Amino acid sequence: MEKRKLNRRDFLRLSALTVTGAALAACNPPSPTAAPTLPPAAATEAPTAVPQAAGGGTMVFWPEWGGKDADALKVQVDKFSSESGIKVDYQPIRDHARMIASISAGEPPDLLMTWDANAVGSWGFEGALKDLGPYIQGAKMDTTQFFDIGMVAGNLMGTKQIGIPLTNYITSVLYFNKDALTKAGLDPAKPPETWEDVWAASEKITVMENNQLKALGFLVSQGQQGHPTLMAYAYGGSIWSDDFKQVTPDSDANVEGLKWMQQFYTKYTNAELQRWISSVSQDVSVPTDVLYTGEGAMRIDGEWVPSFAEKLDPKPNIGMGWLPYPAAKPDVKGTMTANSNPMVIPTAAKNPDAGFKFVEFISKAENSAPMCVLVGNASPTKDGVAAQIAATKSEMYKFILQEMWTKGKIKSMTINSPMGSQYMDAYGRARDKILQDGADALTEMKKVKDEIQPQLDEALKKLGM
Amino acid sequence: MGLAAILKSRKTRRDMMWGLIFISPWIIGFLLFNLYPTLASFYYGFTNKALIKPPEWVGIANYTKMFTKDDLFVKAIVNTIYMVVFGVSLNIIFAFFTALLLNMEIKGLSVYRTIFYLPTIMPPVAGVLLWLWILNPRYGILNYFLSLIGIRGPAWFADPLWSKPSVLLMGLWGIGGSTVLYLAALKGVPVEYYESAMLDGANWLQRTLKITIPLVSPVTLFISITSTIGAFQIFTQSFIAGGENGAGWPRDSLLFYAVYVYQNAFRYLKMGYASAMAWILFLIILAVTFVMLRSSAHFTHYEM
Repeated sequence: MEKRKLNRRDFLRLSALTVTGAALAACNPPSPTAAPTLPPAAATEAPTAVPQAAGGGTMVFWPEWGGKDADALKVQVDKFSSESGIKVDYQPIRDHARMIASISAGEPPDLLMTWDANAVGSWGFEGALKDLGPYIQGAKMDTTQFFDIGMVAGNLMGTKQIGIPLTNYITSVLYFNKDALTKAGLDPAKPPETWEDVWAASEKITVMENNQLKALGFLVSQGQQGHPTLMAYAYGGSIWSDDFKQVTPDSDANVEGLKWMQQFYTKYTNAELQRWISSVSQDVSVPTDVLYTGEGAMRIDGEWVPSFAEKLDPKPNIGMGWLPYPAAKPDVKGTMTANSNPMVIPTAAKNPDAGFKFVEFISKAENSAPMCVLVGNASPTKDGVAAQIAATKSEMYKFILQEMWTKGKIKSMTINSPMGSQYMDAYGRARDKILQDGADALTEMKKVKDEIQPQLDEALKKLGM
Repeated sequence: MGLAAILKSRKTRRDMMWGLIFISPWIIGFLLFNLYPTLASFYYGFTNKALIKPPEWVGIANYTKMFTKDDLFVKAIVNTIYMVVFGVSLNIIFAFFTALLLNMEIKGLSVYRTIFYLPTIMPPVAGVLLWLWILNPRYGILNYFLSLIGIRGPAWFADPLWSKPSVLLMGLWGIGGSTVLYLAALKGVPVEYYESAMLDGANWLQRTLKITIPLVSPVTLFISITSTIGAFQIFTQSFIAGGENGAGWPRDSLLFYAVYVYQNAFRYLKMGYASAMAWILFLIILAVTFVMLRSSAHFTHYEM
């Protein structure tokens, strides 16, 4: 029989068939998942035992950290893997859009950690995150060990617990450059305590030459002071009602706080402030941060600053104090604001049990503390903070842990609400009008309330709350 | 000969089948990653689609809200049209004149052409970060040069009045692509036309206006249309420049349409509303492109 040679035409046909077959085989539509529904408010679920992972298997973990923080967490992830036998596909991802896309597509990781606890609330209200209540009960986790604000950050307005904090962090430390204070004739050993003190100190430190700002005493609306909740808390109030069902941006406390900030824009002009603020470096990981150089002498920022500052050479000469309070309200003294990095398990996670096993693991003091020492965040549990204090060499950071976490009146910056992001953005726009255009604070904040409250009422009604 | 008649032939049918098999990877990709998402977003535009809950039909509520209740929608449209009008026209003008310069027979021409084209291949994010430094109000190089002549430069990105001009300035850096197209068009203009015009006493300006510009008008049309489509979808510059201040900073002056769509989809989880907005953008671009093409006969010359 004559051998038939493969000609070019036949070869191309065969190749095309092969490629088409491969392409078709690669198309794997996601398996349909039933749309989860939010349980009605106040419904209680019978605790179910957490099935014990039999060791082995894989879980996918996406923490929203990078750099040294991701490295510190990786150490614990590796420890968890070796102890549990569960292989962890560890992917630090700093991309909300990707997280949302993965959740929406039904292909989320088994465990997510995000620094944006407001986003977690939005996802939770959409039914995209698992209720961790049954897991917590099944594992007999002692939730009294956790600091309240961490659990609040992962709770959907009292209906269900969708997040457990990986770490918490105080966001309202008053940092100051000691050299800048000394140069202005102030005593760095006695930092400003009240907002009036801050204004007076700032006036002494600020340098204006030919109507041009050269140095600014207090970095108004910068750092964590830019967060909408902070000034209201700092003046003894809040921009939310206690049950989070009412928005209260028009509260006296918030309006007073905004008026305090407004005086900077009146005195130095908005144009000069914006010009100056936008031109300076505000990155605590680099020596040119305006707080370190002293060009910006005081700033409200988070407890992570010492973990960065103390790695620089030479070390910047900075000090710290409590969040200021209004002189007329001494009972507000000691108020601090804090936020949390919640760990959540998406509803469509393929291996949620393994995800929760890691949550259990990292919540233990012996695992959380060494990680938190490196990251510069507080361990989420009281035992964890105690272990962290023992392991912390930084005197500055020890003060934050020993004094602020244990004695401070900690207020949560995170309010999980279906309108959280919209509220924060509307607040930000109104605050710009107040500070930069000189608009009346009460009038603008009332407009925010009129805009957001009806939408919040409608959203809560749809959720049966 | 109709398709049915053609397909009667067994050989033709076989050839057709093999042709389809060869292009099937593209067809599958198009169906899955282009057509399906496009149709899905059209449907979602009439629903309250969020994250994973099944979408509920809301009819034209999203479109009604857009045009009657959403002030930021109007702001986003206005900001975007600003960029389209000024960005496209400046792109064309600068690219054309740069191409004229690069069409001259001078020493080192290839070096100059490379220099002008290089910014085009720089990743957009890196480009924006670089320009944030160049336009830094106190330490930026541009304000430094302005200070040498006694001008205190503006705050650029930090000033709502100057933020869009800053983006326009940044855009001029990337005219390399349009310049290359104009260069190619200029090479195609017959030299005899210029010689003839010079014999008739035409000066440089007259030659440029009467010969060069008309004969490169097809390229002008192409750049106009593609730049307009691109300008309507401007996103990266605003997103990166906003940074931690949030997209649209300062004071929503850089809140462009695509940025607002992104905010609604990924920050507020209003996928349905964002889908409706995306379709409105599509219709706007379609309408503008249609008008440009229809009116092109009046200003586009394919031969003298």
